Amino acid sequence: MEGYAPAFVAHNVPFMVVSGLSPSENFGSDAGQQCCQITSEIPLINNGESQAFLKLFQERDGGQLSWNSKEYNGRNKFKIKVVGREYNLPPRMAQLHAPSARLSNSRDLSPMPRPTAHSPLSPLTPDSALFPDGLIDPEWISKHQNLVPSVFVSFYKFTSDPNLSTLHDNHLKTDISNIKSVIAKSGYKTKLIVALLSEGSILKSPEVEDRLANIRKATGLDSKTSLFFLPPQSSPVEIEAFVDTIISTIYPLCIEYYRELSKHSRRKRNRGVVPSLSASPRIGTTTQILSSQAWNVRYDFKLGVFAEFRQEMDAAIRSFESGYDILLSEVMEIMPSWSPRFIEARLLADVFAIRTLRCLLWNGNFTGAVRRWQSHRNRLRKFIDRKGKGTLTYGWEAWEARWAEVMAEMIQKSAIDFDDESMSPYLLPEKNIVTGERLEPWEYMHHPGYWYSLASQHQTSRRALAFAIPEEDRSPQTGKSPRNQAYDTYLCPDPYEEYPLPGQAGVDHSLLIIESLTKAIIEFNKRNQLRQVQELSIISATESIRRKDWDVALRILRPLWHKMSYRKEGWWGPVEEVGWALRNAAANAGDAISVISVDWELLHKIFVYRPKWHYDISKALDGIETIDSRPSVVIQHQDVHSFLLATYVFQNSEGKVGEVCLSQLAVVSTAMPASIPVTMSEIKIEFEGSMKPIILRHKGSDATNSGKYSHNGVTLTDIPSQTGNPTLAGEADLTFSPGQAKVFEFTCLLREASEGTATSATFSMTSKLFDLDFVQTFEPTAAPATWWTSTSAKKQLVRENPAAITILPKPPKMEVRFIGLQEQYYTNESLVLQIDFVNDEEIDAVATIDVWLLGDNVPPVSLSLISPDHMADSTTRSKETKEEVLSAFEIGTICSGASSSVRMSIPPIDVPAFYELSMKVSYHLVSDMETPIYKTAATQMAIINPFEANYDFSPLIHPDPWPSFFTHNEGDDTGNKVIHRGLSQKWCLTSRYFSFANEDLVVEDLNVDVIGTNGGIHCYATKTDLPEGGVVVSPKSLDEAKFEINSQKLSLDDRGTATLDVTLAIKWRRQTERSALNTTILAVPRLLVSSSEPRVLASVSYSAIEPFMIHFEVTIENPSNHFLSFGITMEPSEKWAFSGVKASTLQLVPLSRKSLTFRLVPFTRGDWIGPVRCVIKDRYFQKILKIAPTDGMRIDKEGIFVWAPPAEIEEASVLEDDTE
Amino acid sequence: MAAIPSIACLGVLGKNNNPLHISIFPSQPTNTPLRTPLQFSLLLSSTLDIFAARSTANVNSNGGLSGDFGLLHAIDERLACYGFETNTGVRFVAVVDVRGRLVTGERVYGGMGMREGEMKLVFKQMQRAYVRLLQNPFYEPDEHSPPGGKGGRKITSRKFGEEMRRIGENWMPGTIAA
Repeated sequence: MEGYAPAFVAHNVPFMVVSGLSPSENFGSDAGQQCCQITSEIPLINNGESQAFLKLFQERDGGQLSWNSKEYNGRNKFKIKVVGREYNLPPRMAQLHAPSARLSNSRDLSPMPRPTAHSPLSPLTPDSALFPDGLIDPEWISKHQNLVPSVFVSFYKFTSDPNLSTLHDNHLKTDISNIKSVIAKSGYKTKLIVALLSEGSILKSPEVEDRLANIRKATGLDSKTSLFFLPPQSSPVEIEAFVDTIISTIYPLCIEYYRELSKHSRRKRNRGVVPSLSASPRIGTTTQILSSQAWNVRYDFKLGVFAEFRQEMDAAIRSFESGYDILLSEVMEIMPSWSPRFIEARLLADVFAIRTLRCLLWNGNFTGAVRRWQSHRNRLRKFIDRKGKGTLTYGWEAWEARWAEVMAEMIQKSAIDFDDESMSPYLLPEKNIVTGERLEPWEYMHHPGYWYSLASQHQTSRRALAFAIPEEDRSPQTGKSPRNQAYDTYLCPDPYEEYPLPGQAGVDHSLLIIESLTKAIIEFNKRNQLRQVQELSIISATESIRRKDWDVALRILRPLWHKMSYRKEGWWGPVEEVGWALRNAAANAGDAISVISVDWELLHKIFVYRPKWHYDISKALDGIETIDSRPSVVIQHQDVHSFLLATYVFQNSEGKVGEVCLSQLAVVSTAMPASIPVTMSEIKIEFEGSMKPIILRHKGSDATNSGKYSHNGVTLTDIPSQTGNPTLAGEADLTFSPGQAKVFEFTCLLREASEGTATSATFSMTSKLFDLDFVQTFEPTAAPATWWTSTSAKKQLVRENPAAITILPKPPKMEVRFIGLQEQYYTNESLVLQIDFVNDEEIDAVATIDVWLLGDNVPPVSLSLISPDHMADSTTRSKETKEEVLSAFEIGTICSGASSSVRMSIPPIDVPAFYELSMKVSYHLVSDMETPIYKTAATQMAIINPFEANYDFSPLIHPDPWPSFFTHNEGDDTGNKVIHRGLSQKWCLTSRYFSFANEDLVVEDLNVDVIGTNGGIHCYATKTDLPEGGVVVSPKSLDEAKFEINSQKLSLDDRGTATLDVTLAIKWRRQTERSALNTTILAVPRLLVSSSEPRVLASVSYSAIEPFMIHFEVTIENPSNHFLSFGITMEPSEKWAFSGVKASTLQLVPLSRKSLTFRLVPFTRGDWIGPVRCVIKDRYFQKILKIAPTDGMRIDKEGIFVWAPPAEIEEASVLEDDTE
Repeated sequence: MAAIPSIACLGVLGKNNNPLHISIFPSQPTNTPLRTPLQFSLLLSSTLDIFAARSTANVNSNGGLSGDFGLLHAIDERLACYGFETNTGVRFVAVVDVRGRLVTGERVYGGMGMREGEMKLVFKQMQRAYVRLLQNPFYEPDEHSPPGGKGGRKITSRKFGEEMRRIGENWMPGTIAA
């Protein structure tokens, strides 16, 4: 809205001056003028409170808020100016030149001959700029908005000192009265408000009330509306509330103040009298004075502005419309169109319209506002066509552009909320527009971006009209000639500036357009209308190019060219437009990369052919001087719409290692038919996976190869490279003519099992001036891929990604055999396994093996190679490892059809375990040493304990006599030999062992080894002999072995308990030839040998003479050093008859034993008889001794049973009774 | 003589935001198109912003408003864009020149401005023509808006073009949708 005085277009709010708080340099009206000065001798308040007040008032200043009712509510109702104690009010009346300069009331329009004073801004005052026939001066609004306050708030300190209070109050009274009188004298009706801030230490006293009443009475202030008192020690919240109270209390007064002013104007308007000039027009000036209609325009304007001060927008609209109508229809009609007053009036018409628009926007009449905007334009157009210089001038277009910008700025200033939920760029019409009424689309109010863009369109039209100015009018000399009066220069320059002659400075139309567009782009960007932004950016860049501002154009176009939606969405026209523009800008700015990229894209035949263009990519940089170094450009295919389209296809989706696979690179050119063929220096195809990159090099053009279709088989050679990335290279003709389809077919050997995917092809071009790389990545497309045959027939391949191949490993033809693998392995057995590798390949193979043994506590594995002649069994190489993995054991060359063997041995394992043995044979054929082939084999080995056993430990009667007290055995203690003098005891260890094996095992030997004794005892075990060749133990069977253990204490006096630790060793082997003998050692629970307590052992023997007779013998041993007496009772039984002691007492001397024999004749045969109830009781301890059975006897709960042999066997079993 | 609205351009935009068809019509009084073909295609492309914004707004507000989008925006005082979206994502855009036709006869239904829903008939006719195009077994919709979301070919059917021309030329404000 530049061009209009700011005061003319700014929004008006009530004006308030706050004094007494801060030393301010703001004195109001210019002090030089003769004016009314408000002064005061009371010092400023300067403490924390005053700062708080200052801040609060500044926060509430509504001078800069957006123009809408939402912002101007609550506390932001005033424009607030903070001043010191002094303030100057502008003079209300101009000073009269007449000698008797008496101030008089201007309202007093009595037709008295004496001159009357008028406002200095009135057209009646000779010093005024409006004198004698101007309409209104923006200073007038400025005066009310910035200089004459509606309310003058004066802050004073209210003293607390009782001694000073009277003096102080008197000062206050004088000061307030002074200010009042100054204001009254000035003629303004400014309200004076006094705010008293009581000092901190004031006490509550009735005096305060009296003092306040006194001041009020003396100054005539109204206690409710013009005298405010802040009690002492108020909190910040209270202070804020105080300020808000002041504002809300005085606001109605201020409104009343502006209403008074309105009334004053209305009265004058209604009077309908043209006021007389305050002085006669000076000699030499026109006697033109304002007509009564013009005075009405003036009054209407004032009425509207005061209504705006009161925020009564409807009233303001009414006044403005009335003034506007009179202005255009009556006042301007009679003005000469060449006069400056006509320009002023036109400006005022615009201001009327702007103010009306703002009031409409304020009220939410958006469609109404657009209509008003249009109607002002249309009315003015008609008027200018009729009265002015016509509307086919650049001046009119300049105004149209201005008018659109005014609307845009007004909408922005009003902060209208467009971003509602409907996400629409325009607002719906207000409610009072009838539904179904015909609305022009533009009447829906669009956001400012559209208005700025409209402005730019008018700027463009303005330029077109400006450029049509004939040359003779463009010279500054003709500037003031009458000829130039034909041009409308309302708010725009003269023709010689508008379109200057070459070499002269003037208007830069492009810059104006760019400015408007930039503002529009910001608005569109805010609302995410990115395509609209692109469109405007193109125009803006074109204008920059026009100004030869290459860098700016480049800055816009380069990102646009890369990111624009048009390319992705297939809008080729805009793409082309941007492309050519960018090329133009880049060529001039020396941006070689952009030039080459654009040239590459523009070769596509989809764009419009330009006959004068060379269409040769190699000439892209010809004629561009500003490039320093040789540019190197990389173009990604997704960034451009490329005319070269490469696809890569494998013939099959799967292949095996060692096989040959066919693949094709097809390059289709859709270049402009008239373009020069493009020659690439090389094409590099990159793969993902193990495949080597392929490089195709240009080998020179081939004349026969220029048809529409060419099919080239390319032989690839392996090129090892220093950098460790071997490549395959080939040669072909890499010239691509427009419209040509070229297919390069490759044969390559698949080497390694993996997934292979062709990822990209890079076309490299080396030109005279630059290097170019065009990178095309292969992406799977929805359309089926094509396989081209040499006859240009096509085959469609329907695969997910035809540029991918799955390379399967070569099926190995190597057999791994485990020889001698047992079904079950046992602990304590060394594991030996022979593994044969049979080469079924047609070619000799070189192999190595890796062996893993997996499980807990893996034993070391050793491998040894068995030389081919099995007989010798000589180990050529062996390897052993402590680790789980035994890797890379070389087997060497295995001839085709032959085999090699390896022996694997694992040492015996003590505990049961489960192992997994896996093996990988890696080999390659001597014909192709690069392709490894793998074969794996695995087996499981479970290792279990072959035997488990349980044990029975029972006493036997030792046959040796006990030592006698009466025999003195003189031992020769001289030697080293230890003589055992203790009692000898004999025991029987019965072991029942169970076979857990799942096959027959041969037990060759069983042995009990004494591994430790405890308690001074000597002991040895006798062994039961097994038959020669051992015993075959079948699975899940129980065998029994008995061992006799003799023990003897070292000393006869040692009566302590002794223990024995023995183990059972089973020597066994598998029931096969040449099987090794293994020893399994089973632990036996600790055996307890006691020798201090008396014990009773029962034994049985069968008489040789009397076949029916059974000798039942009870041996009582007394190993103690006491005399013991035992009671013996033998109970009779129905099952046998017996002879012997029925009941008796036996006395045993220390260290002696005694046997009692009973002869039993059983009544049944071939059966266990019993229980034999023989009770032996220690007389002294009254304790029944338990009878321990020995061989041939059985014991259970009831007692001891004795075997009565059947009659036949009786004779054979002869066992002599062995008595003492 | 009065200037009433006429159609300045009809556009069919594919699912991938690609142009499928553009017909341009001359405006009075010069009887030439108001803008260049490039400007019209920029103009059509710009409507996609509003289609996108409205669709998001519709999804957000759960309003299943498919079909008539009404006024998309007015470019300036003469040109305004109206839009319609089919349920397969094809968009029809009618660019109306508010003063594109001069009439002298007394049977003037319209006048300045447009009434709401006045473009419905145009869109209905365009949709009918498009459906007829789809019924042609040689028309492959996927070629024109490939599923990958990038570009697509234009409609080349002469019949469809003629149909569009007829719709654009015959439309008058005030013709009520049948």
